[in-house]
Amino acid sequence: MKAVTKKKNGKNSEIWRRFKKNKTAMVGLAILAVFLVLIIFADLIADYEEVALGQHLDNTLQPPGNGHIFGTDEYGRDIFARVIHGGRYSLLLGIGTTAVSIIIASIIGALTAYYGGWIDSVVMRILDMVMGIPLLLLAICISSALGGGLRNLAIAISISLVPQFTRVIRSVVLNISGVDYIEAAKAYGTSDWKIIVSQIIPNAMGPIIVQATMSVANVILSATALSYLGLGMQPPTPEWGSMLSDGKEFMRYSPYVVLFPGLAIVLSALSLNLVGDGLRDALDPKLKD
Amino acid sequence: MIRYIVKRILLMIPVLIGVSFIVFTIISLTPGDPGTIILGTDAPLEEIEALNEELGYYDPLPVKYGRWLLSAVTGDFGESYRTGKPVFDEIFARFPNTLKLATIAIILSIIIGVPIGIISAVKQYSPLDYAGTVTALFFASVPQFWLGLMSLLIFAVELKVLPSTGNATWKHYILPTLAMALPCAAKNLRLTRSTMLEVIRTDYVRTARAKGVSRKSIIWKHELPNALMPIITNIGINFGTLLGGTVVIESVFGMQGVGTLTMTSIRQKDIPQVVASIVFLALIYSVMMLIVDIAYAYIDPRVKSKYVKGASR
Repeated sequence: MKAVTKKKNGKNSEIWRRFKKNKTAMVGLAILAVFLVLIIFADLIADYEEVALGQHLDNTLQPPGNGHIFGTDEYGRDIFARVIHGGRYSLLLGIGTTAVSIIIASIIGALTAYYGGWIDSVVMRILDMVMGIPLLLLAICISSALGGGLRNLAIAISISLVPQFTRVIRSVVLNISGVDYIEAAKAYGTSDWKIIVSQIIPNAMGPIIVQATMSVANVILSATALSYLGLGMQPPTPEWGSMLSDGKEFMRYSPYVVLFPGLAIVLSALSLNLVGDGLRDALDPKLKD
Repeated sequence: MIRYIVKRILLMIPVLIGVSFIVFTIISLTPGDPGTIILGTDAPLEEIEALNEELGYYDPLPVKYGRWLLSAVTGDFGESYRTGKPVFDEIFARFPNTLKLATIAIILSIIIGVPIGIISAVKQYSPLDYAGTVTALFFASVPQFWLGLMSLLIFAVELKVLPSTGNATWKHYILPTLAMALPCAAKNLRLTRSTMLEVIRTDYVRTARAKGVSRKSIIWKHELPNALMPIITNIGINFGTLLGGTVVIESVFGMQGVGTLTMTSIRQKDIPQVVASIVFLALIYSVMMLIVDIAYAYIDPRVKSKYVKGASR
């Protein structure tokens, strides 16, 4: 047992060593770290009720400067405070929905791939049907039926994500199930459940982690699009997408109201994509020699 | 080959029925009854009840769906709650705009993304490769609607060189199609580059190189045809993403398309219109996937040989 853990640590530190050498991936990680710090300490930087929601109608649409580094919006609210508080919703949604859908997809994907047969065919046909609806349209469908708000937005996005994750996980598991060490474990009389938990899941982790990182970026993009359409978070909640749809009317004379929330979306998605790329290269050195 | 195409078309039918069932079920969960939506909240309760009864609102879901499907098969997708006209009238009036948007965007995304991706891979680690991949990374992380807003701000408001909203002339299509195409082109570039890099390292390319085949001939005859497969598959998926994206882009640019129709119908709780619009977009998506699959079969000798006698390279 000891030898196994040691070997695993060795593998992880090897991945980390390769990741560190990748400059763009490290830049991504740095941007992500800055975002996380700003979001975690958002309450210390700017009070939610006072600064992010409090309206100051004598101080509306102020350009950046004068104590408001990103300027103020049409209600005189500090845009910087709203951007960092809004990051909480975006990143929470991104990470939360990805995690939930991966768990659901792992259960479906691992079981169907491992057992195969008619269960596999039936489940895959159902997923084909769900995937016949473009992802954003499906999310629009679900959130228009459920109504706005954080919980419903999370449900809408998670349901839309499950089919594609299931496909990825199923194909990864199918690739692994055929290999010799699984056959060996089977021949040894290890139970199916134990094989899935102790052999298949750890070996499938790599590709899934890469997919997950990229998915968080994509969720941020889709969630902000839904909020922009008025289907996600509702005003006055400081969410990046709804800030953009509120600010659209004023962008002609006050472009900063749409510039900064948009940049926050781009930078957060970019940093996650950079980290995802770096992880993929670090996990699979074949691609990069 | 005909056998393959017929088989694929037949396979499409159960998928489309499934899609319509999923969309119908989800949209049926929307709160609000048709009587109130059509007659308004001020109408007498008995009239609302009577209309609900007439429209079959109180029937169980499978009955409602069965009725919808039966009339859908005959081409009747119901009437809009708001206008009382058949839902497809409005969809067909607006669809050309949406189709134009999505088609131009997909073509742009291919002609921008694929060649730069190939050059990036062939000249790996060159300044051109870095410039290409960095730009692609940026555009892959930009939401289409924000790109649309920013391009409006720069080209319509500041420089005043392009019109801002509507879809009157071809000039109105420049910004929306670019806003949709660029993030997609970025994804194509990244995919093309990575598949080309994989193919470049395969044994058959190494063999060709060892044989002394010219660089050009290797790229065109060995690398590109093999790298094209995943790229073609991805084009179908991209088309789906773009169709979904039209909903957002059309509302940014105030265009009259199926996307804005869907959004207005959702806001007005015009259920038959919402269901028909989304099922229609999903149908277009499946048709596109079908075309991609057929193209794939034509190009991939492994698929072709299964259906065509004596087909080989």
